[in-house]
Amino acid sequence: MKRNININKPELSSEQIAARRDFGTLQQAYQASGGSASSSLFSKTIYLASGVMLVAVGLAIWYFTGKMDGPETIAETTVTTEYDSVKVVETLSVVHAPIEGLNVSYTKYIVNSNTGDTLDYSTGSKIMIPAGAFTDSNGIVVKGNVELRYREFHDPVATFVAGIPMTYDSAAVQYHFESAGMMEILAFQNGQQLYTNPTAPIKVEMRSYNASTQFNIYSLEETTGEWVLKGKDQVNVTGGDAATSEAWDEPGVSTITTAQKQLKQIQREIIDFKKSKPVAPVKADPQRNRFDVDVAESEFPEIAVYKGVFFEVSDKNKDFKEEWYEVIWEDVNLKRMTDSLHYEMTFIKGQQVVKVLVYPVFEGKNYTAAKKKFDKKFTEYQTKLQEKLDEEKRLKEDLIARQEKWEKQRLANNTQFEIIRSFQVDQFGFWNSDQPVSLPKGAVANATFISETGDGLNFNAVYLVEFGRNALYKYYDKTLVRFSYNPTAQNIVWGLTTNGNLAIIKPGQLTGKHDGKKAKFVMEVLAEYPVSIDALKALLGVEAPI
Amino acid sequence: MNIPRTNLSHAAAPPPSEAQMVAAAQKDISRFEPLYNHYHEPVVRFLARRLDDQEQAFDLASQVFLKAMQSLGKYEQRGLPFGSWLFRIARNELYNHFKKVPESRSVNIETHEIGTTMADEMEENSLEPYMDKMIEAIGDLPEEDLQMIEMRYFEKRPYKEIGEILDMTENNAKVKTYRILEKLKKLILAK
Repeated sequence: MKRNININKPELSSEQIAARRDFGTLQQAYQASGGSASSSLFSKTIYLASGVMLVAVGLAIWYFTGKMDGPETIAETTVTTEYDSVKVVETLSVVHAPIEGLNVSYTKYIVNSNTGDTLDYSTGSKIMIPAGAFTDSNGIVVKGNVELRYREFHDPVATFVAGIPMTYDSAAVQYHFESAGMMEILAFQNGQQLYTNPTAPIKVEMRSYNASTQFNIYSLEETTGEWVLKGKDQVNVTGGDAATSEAWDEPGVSTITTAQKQLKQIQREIIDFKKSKPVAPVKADPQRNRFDVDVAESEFPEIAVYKGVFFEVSDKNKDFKEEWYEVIWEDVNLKRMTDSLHYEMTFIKGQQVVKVLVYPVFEGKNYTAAKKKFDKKFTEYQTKLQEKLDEEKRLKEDLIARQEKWEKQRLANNTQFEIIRSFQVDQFGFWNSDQPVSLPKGAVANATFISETGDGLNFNAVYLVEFGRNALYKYYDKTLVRFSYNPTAQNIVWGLTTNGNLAIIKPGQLTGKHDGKKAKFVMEVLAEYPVSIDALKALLGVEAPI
Repeated sequence: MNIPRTNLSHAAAPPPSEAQMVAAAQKDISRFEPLYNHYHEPVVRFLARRLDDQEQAFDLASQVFLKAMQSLGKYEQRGLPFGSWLFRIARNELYNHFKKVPESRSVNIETHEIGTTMADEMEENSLEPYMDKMIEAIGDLPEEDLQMIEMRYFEKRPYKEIGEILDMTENNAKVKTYRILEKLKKLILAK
């Protein structure tokens, strides 16, 4: 079957799909079919019904456009950005602010439920509330004034102080979320929590700082901590320099990807090149057992360059038997070991297979000639290897420079362009435009943390953030044995010790590859908590939004 | 003001279970609407991922729901969740459609998923250098293998659900998927 391959094709938005949801037409088709299977009848019915639907949609657009031309003013709409001291009962919720008194403020609005309203948030987001958007716990539409609370999270520090879980289980594998913007919306009347009305959905146009269409919309089930996939949001980008027709581009992403590919390519080349490291000739010991085997030049160029090679039997062979010299072997294979010095020689005769660890040796003039050749070859090898290592270093620096440039460009774009992500909410709570990502890669350590005075630090969880990515990677105490991070990224690490102190590793101080081995990381332990989120961001070097 | 937030479900009154909704719809088809509303988007997405023509996806989705309504009396709530039953119908509808219009079969590949989930499960640090080969290899997979990759990695379905849709055990779905990954790994490294 011929297939069309689409790469990262943008998906339909939830709104586009919802616009085509039409149970009435489906029911008509069902009744027309007599309640039994009949596919041809349905196609025709749908076609005719679509015509009817178009008229209905046209009328609806006219009706709502007319309404929007003259929106009713909500006299009692008020806004406050003060964080109040509401004692939220969170015992049933997975959302717990870890630092008392430090949290993202709600903006409070009073909305007339009878008429609805469009509310503006400080980031430029809009909350469109239709008339009759709120119900009580019995599903009855409430009337009169409603208190609506709204707040947004655009960087990992905000996510951290609010205590929002940012992991996602997909197909039984846990991922972390990278966010393109998150918000929480709540509604109350007379101290009672309200609910959404499915027939009058609230629409949110949320400010975002990431224009990628790779993100999905999720809502949080607060009692279980499960993020539920809700669909796609609609991304709109406006702004830019009209005079130069400059349009939005995900800045530098493609060039960073190219640089990462080039770096990986040279790293692979280095691994391959090291396999061609010339073998230093060893002088033969006449007292030791040896084999004389012809070596194919194409397979073992590092030996074939020398004349008169023998293979001496290594002391590492525990059960070597001299009687093997008496056997007429049918086949002999040679394999280079990873230490670049030894080879494994395999002798085969029928069912009998014997493996012997050997190394190449030379006698007399052949040794002198081989040594001379080796010196020349080894110098050439070292020169070429150094060239490749220099190239690797250059590409690493280039990648870091591109990432830094990307970061600056992205921040510039944030002011130049306005990105809005639109979606409908069908329940109150947390909504997040996210994509699941794996933990960062490149360096892995069995991590322990110490203070600047050398005292051991214990954590229930440690958080890692990479500049340029709005993701909060969480490592639990038990997973710190595989603490992984990207050493080419600008990393920040922090955590609350089991004694309740905030400890941090500032950007640029997390280095090394560690290869999974034990590593101690020094953290700065703060004497007291920052007084505000901005103070915490300044301390961590985060200029929001990431 | 002290506002308690004791009820955090954020949903309007406790909703009926899916089994209750199905039972209600079996008695009165007009009560199929909540099921339709709930599954409309996932079914459209399932179809749209496999078709270039979005209109076709919407039309087929209507067919799927019509067939579900027509066959609802035969649906038995014994093990197979209603959603998986719907996706089975959707899969059959797609098959029938591809028989008539073979060139309409599309594969929507998510490079991000290849770079993360698939790379992890193939125990590869990165599939970036092999991305082009990987895309080509996925596009060339036999239909059933392709469906497993689509469902597992591009739609992020658990093995249990994949098994239910493809009518195999969860374990069988897992084993088959790993075999396909192995096959892909060999293909991309050999090319």
